[in-house]
Amino acid sequence: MTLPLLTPIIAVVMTFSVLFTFTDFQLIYVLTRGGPLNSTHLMATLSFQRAISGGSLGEGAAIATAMVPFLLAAILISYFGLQRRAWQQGAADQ
Amino acid sequence: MSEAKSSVGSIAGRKVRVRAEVIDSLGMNYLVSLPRRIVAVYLPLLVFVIVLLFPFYWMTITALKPDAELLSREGNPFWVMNPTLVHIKKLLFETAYPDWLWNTIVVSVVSTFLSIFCSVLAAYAIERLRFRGSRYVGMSIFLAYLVPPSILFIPLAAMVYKLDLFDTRLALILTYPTFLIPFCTWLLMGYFKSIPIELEECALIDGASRLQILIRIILPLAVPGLISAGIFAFTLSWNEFIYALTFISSSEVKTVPVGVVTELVEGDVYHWGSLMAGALFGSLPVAILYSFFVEYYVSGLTGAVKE
Repeated sequence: MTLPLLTPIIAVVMTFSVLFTFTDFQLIYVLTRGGPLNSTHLMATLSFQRAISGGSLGEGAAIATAMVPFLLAAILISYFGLQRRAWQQGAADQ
Repeated sequence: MSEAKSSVGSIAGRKVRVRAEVIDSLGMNYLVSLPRRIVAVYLPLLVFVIVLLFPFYWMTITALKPDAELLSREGNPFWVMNPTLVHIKKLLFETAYPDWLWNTIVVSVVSTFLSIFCSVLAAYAIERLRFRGSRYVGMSIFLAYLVPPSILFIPLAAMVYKLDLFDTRLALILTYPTFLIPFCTWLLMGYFKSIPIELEECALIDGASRLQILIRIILPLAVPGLISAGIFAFTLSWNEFIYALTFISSSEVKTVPVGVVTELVEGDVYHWGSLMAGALFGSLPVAILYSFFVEYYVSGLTGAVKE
């Protein structure tokens, strides 16, 4: 009973952690800087490397923008998970 | 077990019984006796405390170890044999660490106050003025918080170059609010919602203007919320990394997280001692600040004014 009632919260928390893990930058940058041989890059670190260290802002921006669909999907999941179901308000099952 | 104790008839015994009843009604009577409490409460707490404090311990001993001891494989890694202040001296006098600390403080404090000011106005307007579409504005502000800095840093970098702010503190002070304001607004909206609207109606009847209501009625009631939003904002801007890394290049304008990572790691050479000392001095102020305001922090998150 407790777990189903918690689903909205769990959805939000899960989305947050997915979002912030997906876009994480400083952990990767501090530990490996994406190396050795670019094998530990996330999209955020890759776009930083191309845009700021490499100097081609456009390419970095393209990599960063490529993250948006994934983030959007995560946000939508949380948005629909947030909606309280009818049975959680004491209404009958559908 | 509680029955046997209460039969003594002393006040202490009655206390135990009353407490036992309360605990019983919560279905937590396994917490009554001392051995059980040790296993169920204090042991897990001890584990948490050790896990949470270990990084600080590790930073401290690494900052105090001489280089030879840091790199040797013999001996006990969890203790210092010959403590030394060499690393700390190097950090404070041979790098620009005091500058970094000062920059971090200035940037965090200024951007925190700036964003609290903006978000109080925004949150109050969205929550209580109820203009057309205020719900959607509120939701889009929350969505703005979900857009991560790792996407925004490139467009912001372009703007910072154009505005000639590159390599100044002002660049950070102006860019940090991009993630602080949505977050604080969202937090304060929840807090303002918990303040009874009747108070405002009373003030309106007595002839107060909206601004007077905000300043004289709402803000004093919302102090815990303001403090928790302030602490959150302060911590977020204290820890901020990617903007500071992108917009700052000269050593004396860097912030602590960026300075420590970029100047104490030279290629493959990690100056572990100074690195850890820098991390320790950089994290202690925030930890101490937290410990003063823990109660506000919790109440700010759970919503607050009880009628």
